Amino acid sequence: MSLSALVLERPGRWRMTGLLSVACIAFLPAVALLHAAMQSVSSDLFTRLQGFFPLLVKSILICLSGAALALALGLLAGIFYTLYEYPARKLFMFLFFLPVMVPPLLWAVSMNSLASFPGFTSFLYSGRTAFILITAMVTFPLVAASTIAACSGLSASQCDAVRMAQGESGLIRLTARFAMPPAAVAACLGAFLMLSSPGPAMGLGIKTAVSEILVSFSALYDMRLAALQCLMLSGSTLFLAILALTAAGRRSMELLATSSRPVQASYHRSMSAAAILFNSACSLLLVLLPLAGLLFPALSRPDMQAISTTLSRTWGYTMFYAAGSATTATILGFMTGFFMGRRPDTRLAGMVCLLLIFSLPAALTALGFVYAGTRTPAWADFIFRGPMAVCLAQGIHLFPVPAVLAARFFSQMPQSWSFAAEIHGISLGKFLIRVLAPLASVFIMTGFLLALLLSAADTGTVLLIHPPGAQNLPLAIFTIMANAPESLVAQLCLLYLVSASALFFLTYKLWMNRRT
Amino acid sequence: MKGIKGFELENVSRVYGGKTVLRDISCRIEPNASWGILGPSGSGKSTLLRIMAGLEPPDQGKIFLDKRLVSRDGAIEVPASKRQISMVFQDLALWPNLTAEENVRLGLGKDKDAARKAMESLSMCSISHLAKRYPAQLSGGEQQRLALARALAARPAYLLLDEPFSGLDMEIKSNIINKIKVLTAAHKITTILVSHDPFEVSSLCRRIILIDQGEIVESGDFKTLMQNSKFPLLRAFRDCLHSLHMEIKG
Repeated sequence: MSLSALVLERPGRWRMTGLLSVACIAFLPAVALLHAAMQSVSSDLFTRLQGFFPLLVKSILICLSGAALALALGLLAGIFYTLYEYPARKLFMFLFFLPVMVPPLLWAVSMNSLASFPGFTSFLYSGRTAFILITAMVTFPLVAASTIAACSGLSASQCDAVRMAQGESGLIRLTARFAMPPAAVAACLGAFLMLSSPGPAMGLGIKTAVSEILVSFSALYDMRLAALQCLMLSGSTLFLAILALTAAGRRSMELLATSSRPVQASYHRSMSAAAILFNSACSLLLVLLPLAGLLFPALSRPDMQAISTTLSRTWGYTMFYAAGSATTATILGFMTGFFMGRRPDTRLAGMVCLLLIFSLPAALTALGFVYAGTRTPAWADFIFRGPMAVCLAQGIHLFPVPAVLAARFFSQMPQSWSFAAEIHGISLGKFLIRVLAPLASVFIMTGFLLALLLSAADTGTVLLIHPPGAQNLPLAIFTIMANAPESLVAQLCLLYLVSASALFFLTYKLWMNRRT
Repeated sequence: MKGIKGFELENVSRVYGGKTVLRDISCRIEPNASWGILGPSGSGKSTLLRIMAGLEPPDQGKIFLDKRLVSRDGAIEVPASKRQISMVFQDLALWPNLTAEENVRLGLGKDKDAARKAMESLSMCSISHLAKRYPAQLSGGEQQRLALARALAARPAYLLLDEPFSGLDMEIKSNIINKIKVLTAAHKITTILVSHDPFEVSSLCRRIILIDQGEIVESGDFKTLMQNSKFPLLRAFRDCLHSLHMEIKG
């Protein structure tokens, strides 16, 4: 007896149970770490944690400043992109996405190089200002993307009505109000990403919460202190995530599919000109100047031997970690999307869960793996201590990305497809293979490639749990940064940037050419 | 076992999230005729059709099809695929990654003659020349014919139509309705059309069930109800036809 295709449309406890199971997998490392930290509470630890608290507050403030800048700029960029047609519209968006596709560490290298120039750039691209700028660079595309996604919930006729009543400025105000909640959530997510990324702070030579955690773990060899610091960091991010979610409320559901006809971008003389000016200024500040910071030192004659040695040492692990993490993230993500389905309650529960998981620092999961590795039997080493641990930890941290795509796919899929399959006696298996799998393949591939790019760019998790001698390229850059010539570091960064851009372009083309 | 052929509904009710969508619906739909279920938006007519099709169970009540109990009190006794029915959905439910021919063939299951039957069905609906095209490459009217071809290919005894003509212009709508009339008459298929548009119902159906707020208000012969019914939708349609008639007469 075969299962009916109607299963896909039926409610049931299995959906919530499935969501809970995925959430358990995602939170398990953190719970293990919490268990470790609770066993080690002592007065001495509290004294040492007191010093960590001001650093945590400072880090949060710096990241939120960058997120606020990104929110202001990204919201407007997303609105311009949605409402107006202007030359190089897609090219600008492609440029804005570059910073998030490479490790933030690379931008720290670039900022250091720019800071050596006299005058304005030395102020703008050094210390905390540089860190704020990197946060803005990474967060800007997330804000712009969620603004565009949210604006797809506005219909063309709604926009025309506001246009007629209040003109273009009124329309921009309305769209900004409409897109603000999901954009603010995206800004917070960007801030959390940076809060848990140790690379830029260490590259710029400033102390942040996560760099302090790394010092506790790698230099002081104090796992328990690192665990408690990590939990403090997670508590703060969770608190901020809940605040952001409450503020955004159900509007964060705008990140998922909507059924209304989206507004079409149109040419408007003055607004299109304003959009070009605005986008040019943003790309200059957030993309082109930082790119120049990598390009100038890289112009000197390349040391081919050093480059090839570094690449041959790291490319295998870079690919292995990235592919393994992306596979884990895609499997977990699609399971989550399937369990979320189209019911409002499971979709809301799923979205809240995904936002919470994504807002947890990657270091928390990584340290959870380290802790589990010290407690589990030897046969489990290949999960908790080998290269596989990096894949699993990164996959768990990144699966919300493919999960959002999967949720979008399953909620967009018309109910009547399963009904038609049931009427014609098509079994669930046949329906999945012949209809759903081919249609979902673009969503699966896009989710996989995005997770691949994000995991390849990660230094935090790899730094904490990679086995000896198994570095990926970003970590190798991080390691040689202090001693190697500036030109070699910049050339390696550029190589990474070009490869990541090509992969990102491929993802973009795949997504745009989907047939649904 | 019940006494009549066709559909027989006994006290069928359905509740969604605390809201009663269908309340104590009892009716008989005899075979070899064209039936219309007419009602305003949100009156529960599509839910009734889905329950009759076996796509969802009634919360209470029984449904008999050709003397067999097919659904009762929260359970589907006979699945949709075993009821000898086909359905054309409001959004047509064409699978976008399959060609027109594949859309029809997939619906025929493991039938050895599937390819021949699919082409025959496409020919019946005058779209055999579009067999290799994907749904997105077809016009609105062609997509409608494809959905009809898929529904007819399985040689159903009952054809359920869930507002399939919305969004079509008058000319295409008339063509498709005529096609359905000819084909269902030729193959002795009972048609049940759900619609909020009295024009569609009047063009295709001889007998109608009027439904409002989840309850059957009236039912019977279309011509008789057109003359006597106080159902707002039918009354508005009658007034409209009358003024149009007067207008033409001058």
